[in-house]
Amino acid sequence: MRLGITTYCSIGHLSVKVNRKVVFRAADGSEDLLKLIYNQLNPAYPKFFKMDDLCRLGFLGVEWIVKERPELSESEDDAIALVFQNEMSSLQSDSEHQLQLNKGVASPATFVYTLPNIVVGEIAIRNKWFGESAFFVGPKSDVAMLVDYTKSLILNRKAKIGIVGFIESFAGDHFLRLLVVEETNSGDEFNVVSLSKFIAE
Amino acid sequence: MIFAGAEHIVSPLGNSAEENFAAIIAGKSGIRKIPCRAGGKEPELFNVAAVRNFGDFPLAQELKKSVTASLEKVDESSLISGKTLFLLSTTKGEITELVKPGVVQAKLDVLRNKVIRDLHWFHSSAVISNACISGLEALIVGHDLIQTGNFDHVVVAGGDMLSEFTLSGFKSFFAISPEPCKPFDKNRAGINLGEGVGTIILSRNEEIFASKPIVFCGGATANDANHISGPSRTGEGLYRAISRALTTCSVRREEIDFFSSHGTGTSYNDEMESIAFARCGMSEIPMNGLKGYFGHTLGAAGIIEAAVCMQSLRNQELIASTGFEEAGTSKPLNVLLSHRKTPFKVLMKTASGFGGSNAAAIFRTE
Amino acid sequence: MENLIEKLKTEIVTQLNLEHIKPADIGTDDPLFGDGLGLDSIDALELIVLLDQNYGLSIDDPEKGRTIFKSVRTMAEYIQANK
Repeated sequence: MRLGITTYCSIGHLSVKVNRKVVFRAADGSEDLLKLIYNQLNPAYPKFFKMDDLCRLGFLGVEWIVKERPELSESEDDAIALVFQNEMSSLQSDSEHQLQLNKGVASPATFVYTLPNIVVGEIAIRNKWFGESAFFVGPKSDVAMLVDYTKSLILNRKAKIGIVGFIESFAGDHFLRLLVVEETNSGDEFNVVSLSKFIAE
Repeated sequence: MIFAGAEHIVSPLGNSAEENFAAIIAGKSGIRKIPCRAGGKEPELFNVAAVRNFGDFPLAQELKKSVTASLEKVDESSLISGKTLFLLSTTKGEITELVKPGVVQAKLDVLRNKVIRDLHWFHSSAVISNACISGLEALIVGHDLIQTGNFDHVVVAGGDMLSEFTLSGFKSFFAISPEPCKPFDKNRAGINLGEGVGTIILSRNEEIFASKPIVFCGGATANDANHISGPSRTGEGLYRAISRALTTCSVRREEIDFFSSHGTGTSYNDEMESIAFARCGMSEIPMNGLKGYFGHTLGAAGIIEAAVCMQSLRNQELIASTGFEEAGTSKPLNVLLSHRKTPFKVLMKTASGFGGSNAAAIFRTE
Repeated sequence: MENLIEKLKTEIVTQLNLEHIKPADIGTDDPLFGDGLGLDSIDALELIVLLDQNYGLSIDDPEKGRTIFKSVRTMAEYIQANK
């Protein structure tokens, strides 16, 4: 079975690229890249503002993907698997919860984001996708799990399409590399080499 | 076929799966009322399942010991010569490190490296963090990666520790029960947090296990697509996870002899589960929730509770649910009220978690 | 009371991250939950934190929140009654 990459999305360094073409670029020195991207996309989704940065980033990456591939919204509602990884887990929100805790306060709106997989939930809610998901925590240099598990989900017919990649937001730095993969002979082959190369771009 | 064995548990109930199972049979619970820090100026008393005192569980060390203990129950040379993966399941890892400046020591990767530092022979390793389904998901991932030929063996370990970080958070959700939890009961009032570690080894090769292993059929996960903390009112994600698990495992619902649910003891979670189980036609199948013995051990729950399920299959003894006195869900459940020695073959384990995640996995005797 | 009501509207917008809403847009007697502001269960819990942090009033049962947080006015009335 050959999995081909049918869409690329990357966010970072003040820009958004879809299939390696820049679709949005913020001016140098821009603050709050994620809000700027939101305003450009204008999805009319106020829940965005309750999300932490990790979830905002993942949400926006998939919004761009669905904008490029509107037919993804027409797929069977459990056909799409979300398979993500990052290195810092939810440590940004964890730090915020800890800071508040040091002052004797615990906010449920902060605490709920102290789990990295919440980004999967936000994407699933937005798109009404009831499919498989997995969240791995590890460095960019080791993405074998993302490849092996996504392939096995599709091979075992637990999913037809994978939205897979690295989503990291920590200390104001945002880094997203997502691929759409499916069984097809077109597009670059989805494997550790192609995924690692894309992450290194 | 893929096998599961060499299960090991560290919890307030003991330092092996056998010791934990014996304690459960004897009617013991790991939950007791002890002083805990929950964000206030002073410690307060909470019902938790602590191995020693609140916040002092040496997670990395106990994970290492558990993995070592499990490896002693298999032919380690087969794992060394074969292609073996190590999977760590945890939600917060050594979260108490976060009170110190800098976040590096709290990274889940750092924990993984500590656990397998002396075990260089693992071909690869990874950390899975998917809220409270992490443990069951790690088992499912491990199964699938053996099935597709990526690996010969997978060592799956899960662990989480009690901490002010977590307790304060759940307290802000009003999710903490003042009393020992009562899964599915009319008067249930929330969760008790717990801590512990567990290890289970998966392999395509039955021969590596010192004792006859259990057959592990794998399973599936699904998202509620509803709310990031509140469960789906229709139990959508759990319903789909169970349905998909039955399909992927080629097991019919009628073949399930018993199931062990997530059963946290909150009003909404248990209600959601009763709806999902009813939609799956499972309302009459005897079932339990194990969190009355261990508390909610988060990233360890899927492993510890699966290990108890494996012991249950080995001993052909069904384990009772705890704290259940009066039915308290809109859909009926066949909650087992006392342990029952009876021949049985097929057991389903489920889990649900924040982020709308749900998982279901199936174990059977050979 | 009016000062408290205006103050509450600002605090609600801040506490709940209601980015696109100005305090003046919140009707004093409008239901906070339901269609209007799109508040959910976590927002209800955050309002409990707001009462505790800003007014020193602690609520031990989130169910009580249903009546207290019906509208900005009912929140203000609760605060006045329990100061």
